[in-house]
Amino acid sequence: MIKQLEFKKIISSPIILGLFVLFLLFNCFLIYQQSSIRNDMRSLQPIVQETGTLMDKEGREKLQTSYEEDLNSWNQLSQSKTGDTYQNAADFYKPEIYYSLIESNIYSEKELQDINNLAIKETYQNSIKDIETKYSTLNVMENAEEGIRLFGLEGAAAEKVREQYTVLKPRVEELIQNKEHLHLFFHGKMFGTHSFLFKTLFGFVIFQAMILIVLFTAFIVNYEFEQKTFLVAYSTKRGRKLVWDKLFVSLFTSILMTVVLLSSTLLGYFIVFDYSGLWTVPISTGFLIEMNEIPFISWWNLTFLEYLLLTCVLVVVCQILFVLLTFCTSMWIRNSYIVFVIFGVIFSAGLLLPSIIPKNSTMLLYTHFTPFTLAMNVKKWWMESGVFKAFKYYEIITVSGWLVALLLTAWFFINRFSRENL
Amino acid sequence: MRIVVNEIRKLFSVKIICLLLLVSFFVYQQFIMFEFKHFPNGRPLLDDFRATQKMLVDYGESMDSEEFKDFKEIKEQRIAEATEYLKSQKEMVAAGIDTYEEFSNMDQENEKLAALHSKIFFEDSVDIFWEIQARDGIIDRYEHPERFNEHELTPKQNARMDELVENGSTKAIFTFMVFENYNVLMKYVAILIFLNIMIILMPLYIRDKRNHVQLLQYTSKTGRSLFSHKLLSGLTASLIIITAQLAFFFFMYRGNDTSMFFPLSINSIFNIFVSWYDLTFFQYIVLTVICVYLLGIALVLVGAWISSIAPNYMTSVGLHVPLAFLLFGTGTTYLVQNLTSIYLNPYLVPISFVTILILTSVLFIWRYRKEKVNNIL
Repeated sequence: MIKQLEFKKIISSPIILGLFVLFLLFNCFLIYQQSSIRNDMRSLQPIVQETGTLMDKEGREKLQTSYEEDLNSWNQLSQSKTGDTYQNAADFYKPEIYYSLIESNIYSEKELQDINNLAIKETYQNSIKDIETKYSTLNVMENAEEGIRLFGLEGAAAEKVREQYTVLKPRVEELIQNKEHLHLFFHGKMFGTHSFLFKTLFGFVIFQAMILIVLFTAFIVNYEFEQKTFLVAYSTKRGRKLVWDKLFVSLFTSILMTVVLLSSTLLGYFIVFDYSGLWTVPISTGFLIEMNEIPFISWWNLTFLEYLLLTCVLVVVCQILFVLLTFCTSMWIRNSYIVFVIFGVIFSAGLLLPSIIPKNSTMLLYTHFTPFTLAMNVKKWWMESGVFKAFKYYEIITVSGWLVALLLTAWFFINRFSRENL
Repeated sequence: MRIVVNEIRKLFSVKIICLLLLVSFFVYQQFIMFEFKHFPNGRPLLDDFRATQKMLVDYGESMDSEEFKDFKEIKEQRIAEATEYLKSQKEMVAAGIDTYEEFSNMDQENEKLAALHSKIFFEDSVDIFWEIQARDGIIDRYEHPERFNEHELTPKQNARMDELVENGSTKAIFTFMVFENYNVLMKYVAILIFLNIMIILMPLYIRDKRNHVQLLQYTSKTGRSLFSHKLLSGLTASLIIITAQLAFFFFMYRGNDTSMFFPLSINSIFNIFVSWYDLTFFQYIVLTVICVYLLGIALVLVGAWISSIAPNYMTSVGLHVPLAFLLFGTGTTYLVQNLTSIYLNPYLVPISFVTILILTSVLFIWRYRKEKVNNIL
């Protein structure tokens, strides 16, 4: 009963609901802004239906024949229309020919769409070779050395990084052996879907959920203090136990709110962008590589769907950490808006912490094991993500360590509170 | 008056001051210190900056064609020095590269030559070579003032561009680095100031509401006037904060050593910014400071309004979230940075400020009238 009433306090507050709707609308707006590429993205599905996602020798030959067929039929059309034939689809887009062709309206809307699809098919086909060369020459130890040089790591820290990358090495070999890198997926350089989904959208969702969570957790924990009813509430035996209800309700509501916010945002995303036929593609595929040319190497052989679900779970767990942190801060500072500011200060202090650690101490690496650094970096969760976080179980260690620490702190505060003088 | 002073003292409690200092420290660490420490950021920007400083010392505020000839001569001298340097390097001579001409035209595709090239620039980082590059850039810009018309511009914008070339302000020896650096810094300082104002104004009316003293206050005549007194103290407190933050910022900014650029026109060919008005860098700085003050005052009105309508801190902070989003993003981009830019409407800044200030005042006055006749329940 008390739990229900506490829950009602949060849910019936117009500001929480208002912000929730505002955040959702904002996410929809982000997706809408990105939606111009959806048609180009969609041209991958027919290819996948024809050849399958795996681009081994067989798949590649299929793609090659289908590409040549399309190019031939296009050349027949273009020959009948303008007398030109093209070596490849990209030639069509050369500025000296393209603009005059468009202006003279020779090709219909449909035909332009066809050549566009052909050009996209060509890009996929041309990328296979680049990806193969990239992965066959990929040396993670070299990447480690470069990272070490770039960030000026020395001594024990550098040694630790090298050690971690030797763990990664067999995984890369396994990845190549499994041909995980040769699966067709939305072209990263053209569409950048991974960055948009996991950096922009997930990044915003994490921060939006965090803002809501800090707001209502600080609010309900200190409700009696703000209403000046704490003298009454805490003078009884049941009143002292209210704080357990508050912790429970804020945990429950945060999970609920994060799940709803995340699932509705993702629902919007997957309605706009069609991922059919691609859910089981390994997340480490070379086609995902974006403009910065950094390959995505997941620590396990995960499919896109598994990766997405794991990431969602981790987002929820991160929010649990933030609830606990807010709870502890509110038990310590009995003023909800100062709690909000202090939370921000703790967050940025967590991000700044590594910069004050000497470059030769392994502490430098361990200071990255915070939920704050974690929350800033969704794009590279469960993957090799630079020298500082090159630990296989980085995410799991971070959240479980902090979960235990925060639960103990919360328990300590509750215990102290139950014996506190009025 | 006594009430106002006491209210200000209440706003600046020790706890709040510590909080403000803490927030300022982290904002400085995360966003601002970088622009101080790494100015100019790397090469060849550093060399560009040095060359520009030398130009200022040698030629004064602008460079005429005589001086430009001299500037080119210095570059020739540097090329001679570079050739000398190349001749003194055994591996360079061995590779058949013993003049600067050959060095700059050398085949970068060839791995061995590319390694030599990067050795000169990055490993040995020979100053002369960087300097020649920087001077090349400056000469190129000076010789092609028509770059102004690269964009598709309206006739009005074009006329402004032509006017600038005619009245000679394009010839001022200014540099885009100083301008960009200042713009980025000012954005974060403005954000920090707004953050501070939000924090300090949050309890303005809520605290009394929370302590239920409004019941007492509103039964007396002085108590009813507290509402405007509190606004006045909030305003004063915010002005104190803005002034203190700006004073600290400009104290730190002195370290970037850009004072010699103050009297120069920002419409110089060496800047990437074009203004609707003939502003010097100093006038531009003053303009940004005025805009920060005006936005700060508008924020005080909105913040006070939020504080007076919000029943609790959660609502108050929650209402500040979208406000901060607007203010820190769009607000600073158009009303603190890029002021009077030729690519924006010339009336954008004045109209926005007039609208913002009128709207926020109306919002507050409406609340003030209601508060005056409010029933005590």
